[in-house]
Amino acid sequence: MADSKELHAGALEALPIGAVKTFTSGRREIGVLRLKDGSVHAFRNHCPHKGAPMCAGKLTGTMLPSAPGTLEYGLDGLVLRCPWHGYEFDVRTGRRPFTDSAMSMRVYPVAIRDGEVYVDLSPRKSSNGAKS
Amino acid sequence: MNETAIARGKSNPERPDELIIDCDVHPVLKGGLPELYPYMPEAWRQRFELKTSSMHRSALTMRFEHPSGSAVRADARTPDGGTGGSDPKYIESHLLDQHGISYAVLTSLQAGAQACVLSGPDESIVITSAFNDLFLDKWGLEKAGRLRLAMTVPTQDPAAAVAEIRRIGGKKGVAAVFMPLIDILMGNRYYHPIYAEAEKQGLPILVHVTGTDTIYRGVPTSSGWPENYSERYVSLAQIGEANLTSLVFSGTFEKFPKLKFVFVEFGFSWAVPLLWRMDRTWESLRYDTPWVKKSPFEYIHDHVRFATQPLDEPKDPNHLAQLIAMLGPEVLMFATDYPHWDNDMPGQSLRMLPKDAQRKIFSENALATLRL
Repeated sequence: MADSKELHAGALEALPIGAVKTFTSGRREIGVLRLKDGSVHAFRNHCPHKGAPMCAGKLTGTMLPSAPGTLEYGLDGLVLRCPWHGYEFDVRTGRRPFTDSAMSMRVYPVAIRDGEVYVDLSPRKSSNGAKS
Repeated sequence: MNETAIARGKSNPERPDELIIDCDVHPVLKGGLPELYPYMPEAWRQRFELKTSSMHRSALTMRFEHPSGSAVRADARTPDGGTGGSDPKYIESHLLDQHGISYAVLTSLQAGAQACVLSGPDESIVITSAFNDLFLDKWGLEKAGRLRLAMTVPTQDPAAAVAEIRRIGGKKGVAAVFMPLIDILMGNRYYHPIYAEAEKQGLPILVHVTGTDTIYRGVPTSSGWPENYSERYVSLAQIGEANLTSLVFSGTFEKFPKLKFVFVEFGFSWAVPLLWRMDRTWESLRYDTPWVKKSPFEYIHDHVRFATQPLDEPKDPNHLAQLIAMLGPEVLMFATDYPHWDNDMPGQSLRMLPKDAQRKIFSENALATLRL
């Protein structure tokens, strides 16, 4: 199957809350995730570090930067942790929390129309309008 | 095995023109110690049953438990839900086939931890033999297919270790002697009987972190005890540094001129400054250890190989390439460490190196070192 520009991920109500469901579109595998707040997020099943399957990662929170010897837990249910080297990504943005690293997980825009979930797989545009 | 024969392995989708040998894969007995019972004498089975012994979660304390709960990759679970590394067929399909690896050497850390710390000396003799027999028999490694065994020896009893090498070291499928480390440095004469037998059988001595390091024996840091997993993990290289230094200045390489040593999962980026320091010291103080007859660099080149995993990741990958050029690609052997979290897969590893260096690291050095 050729790569499509849009993935139909089924009915919103059919997506489990807080668990990743994996879809295939052409050669791409896409993880789709419905959060408790009702929002839906989509990401590529590929860690930008070394290519691990992010859909097998753990959806969790993480420890916020804190003073030595203290712990503060946050971002509950918003962090996807890679099953290999443990790199963490915010499922909403693909960015790695609390680092200035440019490495990010590929995330895709999601639209909900008539209760159905659609993932926009078209190439993203950079700020200068170029496709990437 | 000659290279023509070994090159018949499956082609590699990530590196189609290359032969890849993985010198660090970890098998797991998901049934724990009872899985070994058929491979040990009845009285010992009774003993372990009475002690209700288990291997589960017996290696790491809370202090050094992996922060995510397991060092084994969640995505390496077997189709029947077993932990990663617990099914030899799945190791072949999930690791070897998917990444184009022709051959892999299995080193059992469960056996290693029992051999050096978790069991008493007599228990460790029975347990390591049972592990070796199980892998050769039940896992089919004696057929010398694509998976080979680094046979474990009970390091707490060198005479028993020698007997074990004599018993099975000549079998097909045995590629190396895995010698789990205890709190005696590798250059110590305590190990000489083991080295002599391994040299006689043409098997290299393979050492590897066992998971029990830092728990009971005061290593890896000789100057204090780490407080968490990350401190311990980074400090493990110190085990490699201390033992390599011990091997050089004890004259072990002179005593066993044909023996090779494989350091697995200690990394290698530390070896360059260590060798500089050893070389400088030897140049100045040769008369302190006059049995050291050539530069430490030469001994390492002739006798020691380092597994590449865990690869360090400088921001500029060329810095790692420069470091490998300083050390020499002749001393490195590729390893994935499957199914562990910090694995390096061939498609993403060392691609910035010249082709001839890659060939050495991904296959040629292993072919010349392990008994494949």
